[in-house]
Amino acid sequence: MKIFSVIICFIALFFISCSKDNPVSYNPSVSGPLSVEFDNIAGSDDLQLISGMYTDVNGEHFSVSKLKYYVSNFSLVRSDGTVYTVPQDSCYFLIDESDESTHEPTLHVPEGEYRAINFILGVDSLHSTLDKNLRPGILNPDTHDDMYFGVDSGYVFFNLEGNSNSSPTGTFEYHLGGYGGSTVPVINNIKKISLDLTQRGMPQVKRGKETNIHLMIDVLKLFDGDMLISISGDPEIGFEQRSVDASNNLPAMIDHDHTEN
Amino acid sequence: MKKINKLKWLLGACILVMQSSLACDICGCGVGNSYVGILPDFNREIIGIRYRFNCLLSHLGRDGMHTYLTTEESYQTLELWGGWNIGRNFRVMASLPYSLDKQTNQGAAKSKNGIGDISVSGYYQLLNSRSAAGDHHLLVQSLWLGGSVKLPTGQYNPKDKSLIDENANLFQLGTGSVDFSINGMYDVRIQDLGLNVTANYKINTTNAYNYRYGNKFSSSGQFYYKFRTKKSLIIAPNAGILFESGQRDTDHGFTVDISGGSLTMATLGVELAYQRISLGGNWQTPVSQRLAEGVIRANNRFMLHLAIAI
Repeated sequence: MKIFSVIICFIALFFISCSKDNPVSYNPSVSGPLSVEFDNIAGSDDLQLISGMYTDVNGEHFSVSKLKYYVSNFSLVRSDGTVYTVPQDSCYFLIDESDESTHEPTLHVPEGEYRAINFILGVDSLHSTLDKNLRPGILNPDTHDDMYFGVDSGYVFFNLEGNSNSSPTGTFEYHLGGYGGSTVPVINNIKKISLDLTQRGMPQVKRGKETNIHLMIDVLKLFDGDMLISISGDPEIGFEQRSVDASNNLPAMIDHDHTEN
Repeated sequence: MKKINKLKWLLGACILVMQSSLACDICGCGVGNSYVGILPDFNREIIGIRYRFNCLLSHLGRDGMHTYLTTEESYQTLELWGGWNIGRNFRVMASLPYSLDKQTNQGAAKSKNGIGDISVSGYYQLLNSRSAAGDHHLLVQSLWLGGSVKLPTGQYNPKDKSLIDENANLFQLGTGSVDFSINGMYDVRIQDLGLNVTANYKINTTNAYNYRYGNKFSSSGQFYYKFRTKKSLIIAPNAGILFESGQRDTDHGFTVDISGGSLTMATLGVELAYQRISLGGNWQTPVSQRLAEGVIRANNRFMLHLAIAI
């Protein structure tokens, strides 16, 4: 009898506690904010301009004085596999380490859960050749001349500058760009980035709630990719063939660390 | 003769694993919470203190890499607990924990301390048998089933959910919710060599901040051997394995991807019993784990306890 009542208690307990939480419902016709954080790091350190000293794969010590890059053409893959492409008028961003307000561009995307994010590191050829008057703000070559080569070479879409005793001049600068050229075919260093978000937390976007995809961009990996880049060997890389090697190291710099839901 | 019998009953007759689904769901990586220790059986009442130390690494990067967000966390709990036997087959246990939580990131530490979640458990003994095993050995078996309720007496601070750098929601003194668990314990012993098996399922509810820790399952198996010395001191070394697994948490109904997981630990310990006093400790080390998608890595844990049968 006692045993019987004990068992009844357990069963009751089980059912009381098992009342399911209401699952979240998404309305795909409503948009919510989704920020993408570009958190620049150097190995296991947060990147600090000027003051931070880092060591590359070649054992060269350096500091960073400038880190700026363009990211654009964002699209997101929903958990059901369908793709949402962010409209052209709101998908170009210039990340500048020295300006904190640029670190987390915010996209507005339909409510839902997303399993992957795609974007371009660089500015696409269409926007590299568009009439200058149609390229306002961060894409204006005149107001952002440190991020622009010229008509055929286009934007400097990745700009890293710093100081190092390993360089004969004491400084180094990597100005990476090239979209393929408009009048003559030239190098194209634009990189398509596709990041799987399922391993480190998927963004769950809902109106009235903030969601942030936290990416980490490791400057040390610019030196340590398929091609080794050294400050002593390459203190300056501009619009030249060597930039292809350096640019090929760019995608591996970017990692999805986590998502804040 | 009578005195010796009583002594046997208190200490020697059965050393029973008492699994307390008490406190510290949180510090057990959000997965386990079960402390496993071997207690002497007791006649009417028992009171004890228990100290537990857990540590882990949180916010690991991909493939376990350390990033600047990677944080060392330690969770220390001092628990006052008591047990009462009611009749021959019912037992009630209660625990009051006090916790000290500490996080260290990039050389900067933050800590908090306070009362944790009080829990009350009830157990019913379904089986208690003694029979002969062969000509010279005694076979002793017991089976207990129980349930626990954990009350939200420990402070749950929604700010420590850490929105800025989302982390597993571990840095809390309590879950903030009323939680239930179902516990089972089986002990079988041939003379002085015994095996303890425990299982525990914990059902969590949603707290006032709409956070719900995932349900957790834990199970353990431990072998022990009781060495009896002439001066009525019993020394019982034990060794075994502990498995814990947790479902994912939910936050306002959204699944928290970086939570849950499973952990297997090897355990090694020793229990001493002398008259009405028992003293013991154990050490647990992870043998395999996949916690919060690899964002959390559990390290060694240890526990010390002292109990007095009244």
